[in-house]
Amino acid sequence: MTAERTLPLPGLASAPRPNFAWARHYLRSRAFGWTLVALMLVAWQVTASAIFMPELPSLSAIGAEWVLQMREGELAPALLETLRVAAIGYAIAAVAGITVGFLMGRVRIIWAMAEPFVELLRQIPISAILPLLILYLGVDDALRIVIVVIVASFPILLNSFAGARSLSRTMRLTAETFRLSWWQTQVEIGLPAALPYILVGMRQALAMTLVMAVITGMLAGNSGIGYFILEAQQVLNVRALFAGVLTVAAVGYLLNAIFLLIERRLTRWRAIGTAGD
Amino acid sequence: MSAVRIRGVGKRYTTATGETVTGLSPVSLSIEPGSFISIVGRSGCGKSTLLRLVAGLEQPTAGAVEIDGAPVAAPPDSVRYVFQNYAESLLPWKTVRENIRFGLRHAYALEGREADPRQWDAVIEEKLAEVGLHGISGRYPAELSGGMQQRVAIARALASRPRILLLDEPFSAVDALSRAKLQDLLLDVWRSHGLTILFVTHDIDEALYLSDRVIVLAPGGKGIEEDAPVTVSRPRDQIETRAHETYLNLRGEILHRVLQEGAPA
Repeated sequence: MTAERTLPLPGLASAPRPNFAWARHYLRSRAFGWTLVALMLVAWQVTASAIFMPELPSLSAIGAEWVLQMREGELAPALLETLRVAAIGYAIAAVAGITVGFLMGRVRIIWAMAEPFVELLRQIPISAILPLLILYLGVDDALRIVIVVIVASFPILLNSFAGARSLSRTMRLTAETFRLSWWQTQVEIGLPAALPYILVGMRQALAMTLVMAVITGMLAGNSGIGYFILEAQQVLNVRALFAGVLTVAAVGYLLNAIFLLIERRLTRWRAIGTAGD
Repeated sequence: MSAVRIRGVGKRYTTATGETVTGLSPVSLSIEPGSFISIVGRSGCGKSTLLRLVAGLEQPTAGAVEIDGAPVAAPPDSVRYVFQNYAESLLPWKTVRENIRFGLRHAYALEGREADPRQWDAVIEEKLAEVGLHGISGRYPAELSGGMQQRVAIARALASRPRILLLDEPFSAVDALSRAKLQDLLLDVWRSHGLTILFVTHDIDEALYLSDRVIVLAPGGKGIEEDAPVTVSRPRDQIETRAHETYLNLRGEILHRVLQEGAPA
């Protein structure tokens, strides 16, 4: 079955026409986009070196500032602080979102009880309840973490719910005929079946988590990389400002890449195409 | 004592609009231990419903099912069900080995080596060999053909040591050549495990080839139309049995009966 697929198609390999396969492959891969990013950075560097603009420092100057800020300045501790808030908030959101969302999908009475709350709460923009949150929680750690939790829980909850609902009738009956208890059914069949959905929710939430962790540092005005950026703006240190912004972009990209790696590993079975009979 | 006793079992459903629909008019059947029974009939005759009622996956609205003399309220320990839709019945996130292990973990009663989980890797390979599969235990179901997946599903069911096996159109999604091989495989495991088998199919040839007895259900859930013993000798052979005079006569009779029924196909 699989052996047949590796056989070369007759008549194609020996085609005499010039072969542009590599170009097509390149233009259809992400390498193309990365090349554009690199070109843009080069253009930036050249422009900023040729013409002096206080509002657009050269990349090399930003790089030097980044090293300085990471070594001796506030960037490293600020980044760690933001990541700490993000990690705590994300972990709480994941546990709460998966538990509530999954149970809503599997237990009718929990769905009946929780659905109105969920549907009401998720309509409210976080900015609308911010004054209330500050009133109740002050401008401390608690506020920052709670904001991350609120924002990150919803995508996880909604996707976990969809995943729990995705359990097919045949799978449910399979659990019944093998006499699985309610608990075994959830753990051995419900959760694994929902996992791809849960991971989609967690990846959406991951991006939102970092954004919120940065913003809360600005709101509360006293911590994290958000505050670092705000402060750089106030003292008109444009290089530090760029260093902060680019750090957030890089960290966000890295976290997403790590997540994708874990996701692919956990749902390897899905990547396999269905073989023919 | 009968392995399965079906006493006036019927099923009525209430639709979303509040109508009552007859899924199956009350039927009675007594199935001897170790026999191979097929249930045939057109779509909507209630054959799958009857199988799910015997499996305890649905509750009857009339009558009762008894397995080994005990009434069925929930899926019984000694009964396993093989679904038509193997792609969703096998757990796609588990490899073949893990799927068979699932069968062992949720077994009715394990004896000898099988009772020792440390021996399971060897036991799993034996189970797979029994259904004609070798060297695929590390693969995921989606990497296998339909016929191979259904073999894994049968091996998983056997791993949980059932005494009664229920199969709901298990080979209808498999190509014709694989189907003939799967039929012979099923006869082999039926004999070697001393199973009682209830087999639902819409294929009259398949039913006759496999069974000791063929039950024909009337269309529209009206109950049993015919209960025909299949007296063709065993072991059966895909070519000889299907050319056997008794087989051909029975086939003609049953086909005639099913085709005569007025309802459109």
